[in-house]
Amino acid sequence: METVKYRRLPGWHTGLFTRDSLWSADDHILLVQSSGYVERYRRYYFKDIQGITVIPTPRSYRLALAIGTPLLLVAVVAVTSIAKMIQPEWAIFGGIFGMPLLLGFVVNWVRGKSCRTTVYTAVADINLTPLSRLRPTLRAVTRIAELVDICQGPLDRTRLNLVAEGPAANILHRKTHVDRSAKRGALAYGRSPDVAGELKAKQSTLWLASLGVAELLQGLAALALLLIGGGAVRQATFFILLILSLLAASMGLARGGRPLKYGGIVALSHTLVVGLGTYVAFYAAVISNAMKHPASTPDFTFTNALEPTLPVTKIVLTMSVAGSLLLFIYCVVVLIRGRTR
Amino acid sequence: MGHLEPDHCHRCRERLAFEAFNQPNLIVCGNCGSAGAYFLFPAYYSATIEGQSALVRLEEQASCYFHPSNAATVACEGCGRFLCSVCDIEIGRSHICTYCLQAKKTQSTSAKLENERVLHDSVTFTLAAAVPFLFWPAAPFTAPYALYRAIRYYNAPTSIMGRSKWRLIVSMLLCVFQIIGTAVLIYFVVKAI
Repeated sequence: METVKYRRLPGWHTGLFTRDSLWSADDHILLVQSSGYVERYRRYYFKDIQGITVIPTPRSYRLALAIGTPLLLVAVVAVTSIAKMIQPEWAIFGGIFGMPLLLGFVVNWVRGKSCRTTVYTAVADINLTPLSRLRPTLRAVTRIAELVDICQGPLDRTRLNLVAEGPAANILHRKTHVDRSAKRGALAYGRSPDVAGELKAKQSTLWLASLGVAELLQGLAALALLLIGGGAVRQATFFILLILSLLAASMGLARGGRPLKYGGIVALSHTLVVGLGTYVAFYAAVISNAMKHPASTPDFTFTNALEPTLPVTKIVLTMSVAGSLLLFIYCVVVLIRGRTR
Repeated sequence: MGHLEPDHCHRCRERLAFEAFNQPNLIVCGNCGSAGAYFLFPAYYSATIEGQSALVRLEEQASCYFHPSNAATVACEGCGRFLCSVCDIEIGRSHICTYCLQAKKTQSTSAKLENERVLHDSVTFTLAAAVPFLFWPAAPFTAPYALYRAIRYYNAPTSIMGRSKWRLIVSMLLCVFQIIGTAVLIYFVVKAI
């Protein structure tokens, strides 16, 4: 049988029961989709390839969010368990569920930013699933481009201009990865010329507006803990405002569809860092309260630990109020800037 | 999302400058600020500029067997028929027609034509190692069958990318051990009864 020598290209993709990889031969690239017992092959010949695009996608951020949120919850449970505020068995639960989550989070982080790679031929546009992370993709595509250049020759500017229509847009600059300042410039609500772009801009506006409301409610919730007198009223106000804020954020997430695009990502990452950071600090203060006064408060529970009895809790709560309100103002400013552009 | 062109920005659909193409890094569109890497090759304009003109047959030119109005560009290496650029199927350095391609596929003589392969070594290894590990009473049944498969498919082609035969060899050893173990177990059970 005629054999072909294949060389492995960087990048891989795993589905629920499949694993995709990419290989190069003398005159084609081979996309292998393997279930472990059966391999399926797709060949794309260098002479047929018209172009390749690599577009960064928010998939890695979404994955980090999807894994990071339960990981944080498990971590809080484990820490409160170790601090003997709840049964110690919860620490084992945290370990069992937390380890796979932690592993997934680290793997996602190490693999880097995600992207979508498309190969264009005269008859079809093919998504190369193994090339789904930016770093290996750029290496693989550069290698493929070299092989296509050997097959087809270099690109000719004059002949390209013959088929092109209209003036070309300038490029700003070249970067190894996504440039943050350029991304900020791409906040651009309502700047997209097509209908789909306008719809996306509207969705982004919705997402940011709901995020702003959520932040405002979170700030008020923390403020209620600080100012309202009476334990029951204080805690009820706190929890109601917190639930309302989560509802507002999830409604925005559902309606916005793609919050990680068009600047929603900036607001979201700030919320994660500042918002969750203050929550973690808040719980740390609660735990330190519990550890410092175990004897004086024998009926100490998780609920009455929310009472701001110690100065450190007050400081953390004040920080939480300030952070939430700052984020609210940020959302408003971004929305106003987007409208005036 | 509509059809995208490889020489246009993926977000604002503006045509990109020549300098934007074939760079090893991401570039940023000057119009909308979105990042992406764009690679463009001569086949992109060749298909538009030369595609149609190459097809049309002149008076003195030979015609395609399947499309008489098209100019023949190459002869099939399987049957010798003249082929136009539409009918020509290029596999490596050889040119064949659809009929010969079908015949080749049926005979399965070329690795460049295969679209699917069963990995017999992986199937056998699972039968010999994983199944008895998960459910040991199955070993007396799976071991002889896995041994049969290992011998039957020892020379069968494995993955198209090339693979060693260690799975089949380990499977054979495991099967032999399992069969011997089963025989010893049966001997002692019968003796005890």
